[in-house]
Amino acid sequence: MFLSDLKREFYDVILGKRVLIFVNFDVDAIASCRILQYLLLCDSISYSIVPVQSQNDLISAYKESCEQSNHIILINCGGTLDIVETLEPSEEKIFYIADSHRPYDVCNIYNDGQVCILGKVNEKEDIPTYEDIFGNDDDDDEDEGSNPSDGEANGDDDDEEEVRESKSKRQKLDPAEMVMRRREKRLWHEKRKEILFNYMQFSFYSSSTALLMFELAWKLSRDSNDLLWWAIIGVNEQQLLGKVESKTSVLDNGKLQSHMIRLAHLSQHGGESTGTKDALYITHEKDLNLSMYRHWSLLESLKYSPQTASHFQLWTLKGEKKLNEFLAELGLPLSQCRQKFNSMDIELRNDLRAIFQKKVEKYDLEDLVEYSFNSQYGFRPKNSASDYVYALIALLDSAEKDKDPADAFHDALECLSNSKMDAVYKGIELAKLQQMAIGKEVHTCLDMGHVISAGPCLYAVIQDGTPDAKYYGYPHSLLMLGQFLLKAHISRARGRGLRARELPLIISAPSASRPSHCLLLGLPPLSLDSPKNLIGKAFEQAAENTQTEITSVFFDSSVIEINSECRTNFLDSLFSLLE
Amino acid sequence: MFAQKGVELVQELERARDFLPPFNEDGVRQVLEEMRALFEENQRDASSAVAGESEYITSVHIRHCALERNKRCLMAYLYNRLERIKEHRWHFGSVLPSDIKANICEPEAQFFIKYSKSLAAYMKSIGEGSYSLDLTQNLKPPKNLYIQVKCTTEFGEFETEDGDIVVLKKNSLHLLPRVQCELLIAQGILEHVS
Repeated sequence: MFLSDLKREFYDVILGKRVLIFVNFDVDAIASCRILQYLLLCDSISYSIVPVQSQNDLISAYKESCEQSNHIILINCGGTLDIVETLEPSEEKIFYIADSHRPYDVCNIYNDGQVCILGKVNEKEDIPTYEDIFGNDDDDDEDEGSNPSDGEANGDDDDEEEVRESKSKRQKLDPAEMVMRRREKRLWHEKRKEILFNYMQFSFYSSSTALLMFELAWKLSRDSNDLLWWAIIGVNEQQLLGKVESKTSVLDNGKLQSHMIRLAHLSQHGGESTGTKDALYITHEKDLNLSMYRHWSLLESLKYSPQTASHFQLWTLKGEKKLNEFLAELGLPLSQCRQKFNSMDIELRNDLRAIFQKKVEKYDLEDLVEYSFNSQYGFRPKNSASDYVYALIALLDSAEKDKDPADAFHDALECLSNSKMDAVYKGIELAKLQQMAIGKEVHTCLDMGHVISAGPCLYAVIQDGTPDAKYYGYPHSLLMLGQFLLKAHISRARGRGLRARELPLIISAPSASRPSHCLLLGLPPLSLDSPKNLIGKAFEQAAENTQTEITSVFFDSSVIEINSECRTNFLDSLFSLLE
Repeated sequence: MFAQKGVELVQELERARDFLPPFNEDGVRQVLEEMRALFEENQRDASSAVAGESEYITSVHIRHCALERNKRCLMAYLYNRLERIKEHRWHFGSVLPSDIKANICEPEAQFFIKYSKSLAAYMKSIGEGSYSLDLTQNLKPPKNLYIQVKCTTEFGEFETEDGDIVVLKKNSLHLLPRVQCELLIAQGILEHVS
């Protein structure tokens, strides 16, 4: 069931009650959680938050803590699972799902009251109609009973008598009609299967949950610059990790920008003379699309940003020369570029964007200068939203043997409170190390020819014991590595590139949190230009075929964790599936 | 010089602004001795003055002033100590920490017990029915009735006053009423997160 009026149907219902919140491990979820926390604090709604990483986590955490409350909010998790079947909740529990993962499970969509999905129905998602999925279930005795959903149970009670009557009548029908009916039903089942397959085939993301939460705050008139900044971070993560189509992100950015202007206007004319010292300023301006360059040196940032690195092919000698040539043409002295950005000449720093802007066309790097959101606390240095996202990802993915993943979650959550700039800087330092490790790994993979074309797809396996593996043995970081690698590989393979562009990439790396396990991640082909991903389904099928146990299933189905020993077998089966 | 000891006592208390110094029994005794000496001399001179020797009257007058001053200093010393003890009652509750207990004398301890009793009786009398109002909570108006806490140990189930059950699992975040968290925070089970 979709709830489109969030204030009336969701917020007013939980007002004054206790809620239980499960939050997935991703930046968008953390940003939404932060916004929700603020709202709940304003209204003194007592809550408990439990971070969950995988489906198994969700199930066990639910079992442990379900007694606390009847109102359960799932942030960026659970939408793709059949909640009623997976968690087996008692009847008085009500689930509210705010999830950007798609497609939603059909049972959640057509559930009547117990499972509520926050947000509007998106026409483009082609959700199958009720009739197609549960339609003629009135004679489901002979069905396999495959869908014991609540939807069919209600409303049918009154008709039960009738049904029984009609059934007894039906048995007396003549054989020709019986055959026709059976045939009809078989056809309907086949059609249902096909519709479901088409619907569930691709996994993808819709627009950010943080934005949804921000709009709720807006409707409650509790929006402020801080909340907007959190929403911006949520949206920015999706763009940075390429989770959404460019169309969605343009729309989202437009929404954020109009909120930004409205809030700026309010604070100017509201007569609120908040001191400039602690105020948060948000600006939307053209900025260099380089990773964390404000906290790094320009040269390093150019070197480790996926886009420039693969454009200039910086892992080769020739590439480095080309980069130097580029910098020379821009008129940026190398000695300045090697310095920390903060220590560069002030004139260069102020004009940096204009300097780049002039030459990007010549070097075919148009996407190097793009609009981005930047924020500034009082007189402190400016940060862009992507800096925050990198920092948050690095903190989230910093769990090690002695560090609980939940600690990493809290570190990341702490980053999003206004006064904790130190936490952000710590995250950024970590993110730099991570970017460097990823850059180096891409370099090695290309040099050693680790990216192998297996016919239907490309694959790359990072062996156990690679020194920097702890930096990318997590879902998010591995995704960044995969995207970087795919981009770099394609930019290199000029002649055969046309073919490589149409292939998905499967990448595997040792899991950093669990020894002797490895992560597998699938990326859609670059040529498709859309982040819809069918690898998740293929993983599922391959695991079934080879009887491999998937040790953790993340909410994004294109990442799984399996035992390293089964990997070869699993990959073979996967390749034959993709043929 | 007259009344110097008394002033010293007051100064001693004034210097230790943020804690209760030990009761200066020696100082108090010295002041009292000085007062007795002054009084005896005064009595002697006064009786001779009554007899008709009028030249003693001025010195009697000065001694009397010194007596008055000593009395004032002693009163100030004792009164201010009691004020501090009262403050401690609001701060620490009816059981004083041992380091403060060591610094008060017996009559003061008795005062503390009596003060506690009457405060408790008063708190019981306000509020309706079986409820009593704990005045020592929230001496300043709290910004928020709820605070955000993080659980640091596997504590298990915890029942709040209004009957809700909270499962305090390691590394879970909660928004709970401030009153109910305070004890758990003091025990180190919860951690306050801003």
